[in-house]
Amino acid sequence: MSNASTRGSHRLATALAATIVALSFLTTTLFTAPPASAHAHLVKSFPRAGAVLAASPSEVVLTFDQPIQAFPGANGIVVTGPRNSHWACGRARIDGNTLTASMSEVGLRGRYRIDYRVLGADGHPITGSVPIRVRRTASAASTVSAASAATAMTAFDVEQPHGLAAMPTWPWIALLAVIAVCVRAAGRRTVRPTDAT
Amino acid sequence: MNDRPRLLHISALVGSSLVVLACGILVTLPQPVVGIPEPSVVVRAGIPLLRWIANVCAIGAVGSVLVLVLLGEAGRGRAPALARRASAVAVRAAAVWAAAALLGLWFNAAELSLRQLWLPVGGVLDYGGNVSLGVALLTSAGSAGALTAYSVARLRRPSLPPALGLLIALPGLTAVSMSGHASQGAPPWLLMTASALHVTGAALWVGGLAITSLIVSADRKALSVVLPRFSHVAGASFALVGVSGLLLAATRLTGDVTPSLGAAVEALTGTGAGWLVMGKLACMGLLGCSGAYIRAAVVGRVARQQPTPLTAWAGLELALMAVAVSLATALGRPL
Repeated sequence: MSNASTRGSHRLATALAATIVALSFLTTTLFTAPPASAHAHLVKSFPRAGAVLAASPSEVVLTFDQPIQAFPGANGIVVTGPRNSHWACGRARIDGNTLTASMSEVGLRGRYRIDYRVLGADGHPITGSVPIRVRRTASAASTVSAASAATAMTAFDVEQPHGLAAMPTWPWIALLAVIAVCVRAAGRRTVRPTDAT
Repeated sequence: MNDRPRLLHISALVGSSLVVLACGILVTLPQPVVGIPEPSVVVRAGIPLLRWIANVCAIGAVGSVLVLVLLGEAGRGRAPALARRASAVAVRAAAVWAAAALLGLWFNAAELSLRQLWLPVGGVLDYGGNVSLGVALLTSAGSAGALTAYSVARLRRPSLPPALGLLIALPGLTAVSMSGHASQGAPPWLLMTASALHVTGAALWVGGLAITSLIVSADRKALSVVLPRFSHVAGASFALVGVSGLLLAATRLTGDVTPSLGAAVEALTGTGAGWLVMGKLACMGLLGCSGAYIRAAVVGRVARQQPTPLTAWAGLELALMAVAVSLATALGRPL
């Protein structure tokens, strides 16, 4: 009897595993569609995507369909030009649905890409890029110089906390874990005597 | 059920759920934008994994509390070992839920920081205090921590009412999903209520079934008390999850609370999120059929304490639910 029931449950487990594998494959084959666009998105930009400009813009303004949340390092733009050159931007300013950043004069003429990331009100970071073309080389090209990738990142609003807050996070996580283990050990010791009753 | 098949059963559920989660994420991965600092692989993989762990543990904790409520005071008195076991599961699940929510807070803040996981603790606190998802994760961790403490207290004084645990879990259960896409839809109050009802219904339904079939089924007498009562909860949850899910999916995919049929079909088949929703719809359809069968053929026999194929059917339902929960986790991401 018990033998039969063990065999029965083994058969059951095998059947289950087969169903699950089949389901997993079915779901995988369904996922051949392109990524969804059901999230917050850019609705307007200055300069607009594909714009051909006589000179580099002094400011970039991006407008989204939902408010942007401020958080150090979350919002910013990076301008990448010909031959993968980076161009420094000012700190991003946030006002409701728009992000504004000043932009330094760029050097060579050609294709530029304004890459952005903002933190939407739904808590999700959104990334994207606006391609533009600059028709004329800057007049004083010799004085204009590309920034390093690291400098370009300064467009992201990075803040430095001070004191205890500047400590890395992992020691605090480790401390919490140690406290949890101690509380658990202490709890076991006090529960055990009543357990027997 | 003895231990080996149960272990096999649980690992099959966890494995399939993770496979579906990974597929859902891989196929709906956004194109990287070259100039923007990319989060490290650890952070990118860690965020959905921690979210999944928090979801699964929240479901387990809520399910254990629900089973204790359904057992009733008399039932708990008749089967003290079973009640103790369910309480112990609640403690563990709620503790892991709290830990996963806290780690999730760290990882989500790290995703935005140029210093990644090395970001200062002040940054994590700032994220928890000022960013909507951070506040939601802190609420979730606090609620899970409180549930852990209350469940420990219940282990020591079993006379405390278990139903209070459901109230404690409620804010933690609903905070993250309410802070997400729903908060930015129109009208936000309707969508936020719908998303709160959706996750609460799903947690009661999935968690209740999991704990009933994995723990209560060992005690035929207790099962005869719990299953008929749970059957009502499952029916109500099915309706709640279905209605709120349709509403949320319609607005999420088309931006309209009542889209036309054409727009709905186009959104379902044209986007990655649409395919995820179709997967959930398929799970709901199958769950409706198996639930109706269990209700018609199994519940009555269980109530008379006769042998039934409940474990097999519950196992099938749990497999479907595991797939649906993974799809939900993938769908909750910034697609």
